[in-house]
Amino acid sequence: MSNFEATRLYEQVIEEVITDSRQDFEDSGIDESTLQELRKIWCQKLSQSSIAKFSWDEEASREEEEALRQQQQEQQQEEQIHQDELHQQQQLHHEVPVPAPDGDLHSSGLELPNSALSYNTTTSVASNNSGLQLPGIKSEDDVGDDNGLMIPTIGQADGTIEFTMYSSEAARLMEKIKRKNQNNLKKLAQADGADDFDDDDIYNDSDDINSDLDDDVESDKEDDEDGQDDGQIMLCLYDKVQRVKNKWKSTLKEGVANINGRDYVFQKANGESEW
Amino acid sequence: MSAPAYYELYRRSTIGTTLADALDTLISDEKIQPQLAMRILHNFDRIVSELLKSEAGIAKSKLTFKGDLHTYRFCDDVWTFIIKNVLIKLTDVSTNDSNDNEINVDKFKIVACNSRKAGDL
Repeated sequence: MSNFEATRLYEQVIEEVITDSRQDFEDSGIDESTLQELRKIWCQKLSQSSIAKFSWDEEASREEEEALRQQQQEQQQEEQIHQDELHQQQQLHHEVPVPAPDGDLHSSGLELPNSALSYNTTTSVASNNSGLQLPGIKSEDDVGDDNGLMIPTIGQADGTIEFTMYSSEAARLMEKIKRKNQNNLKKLAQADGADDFDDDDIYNDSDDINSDLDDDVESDKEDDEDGQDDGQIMLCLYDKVQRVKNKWKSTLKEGVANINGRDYVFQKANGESEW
Repeated sequence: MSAPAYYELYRRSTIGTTLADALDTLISDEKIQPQLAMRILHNFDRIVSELLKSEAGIAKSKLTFKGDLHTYRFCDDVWTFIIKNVLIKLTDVSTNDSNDNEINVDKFKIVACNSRKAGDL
């Protein structure tokens, strides 16, 4: 079912409301940019309601694509930098003097000057690299944080990740991790209103006189009459409403209807219904 | 008021509620005063009413519906119907679409104001 007319009507309404309100804005001493902001928010909200396709939606989606591509590029660059950093970090790790029992550092791919180790000629390849690299969990997309702790990002969707770490400063580390997690929690992307973590106002948001029973009665009634107020509503003018016994006929005009999440406009409407 | 008044009925449509939302946002950001928002909404009432008229040439479709009338109410010159099991047919005149569009809806509400007073209340 096409609702091309609704799109046209709505776009025209926005145009004219913005144009006609310019004088009102001026009279109130509000500048043009706020008027344009009103238009922008209005268009955004209309698009979010997805009641129709609008001409600005296409533009927006193109812009979005562009932004997405740019973001990806930046991400790639960041990853590159990150990898470089990691690489450097690893090298740093390597240079930490490790009390190797039998000087098995040689031929392990380390870039230490040979001369420094020349007195150590035992070449037991067995424990190659040992003690210098963290075991397998350290991969390229590790998320390093500034306390030198590498927490791997594992593509796991079912349950928590468990792993054991040994550290001499366990308490301090845990504190840091906890703080980090809390920060992450606070950064929850919520788009539909303010995040209210207040859970203690459930009980005292109104007078205590209203009992639960009252609420139930109220909501039942609402369900009956205005239940689907948000959708499935038709707003129009009537020319005639006639009734013969239980049969009702209505002649309506100039209406806007929201049906199954889409908006339609009409010039004339005729309806028959039995009571 | 000497200027003709218009129904505020269409504020309940999507285009109206989204405008009210947008105005609310600007008010809570303290960018505009509520009085200005009221004036914008009055502009909206006038513009929607005028654009829906046949002279504007935008809304041309015809709609018919058939269903069980669940509730009827006539109060302050406003008809309200709640119709159940409705079959809605819409003929879009603008796009020579020969086959009518039909939608079945469980529950449908109609709010209608008197057409004779529209624009010269």
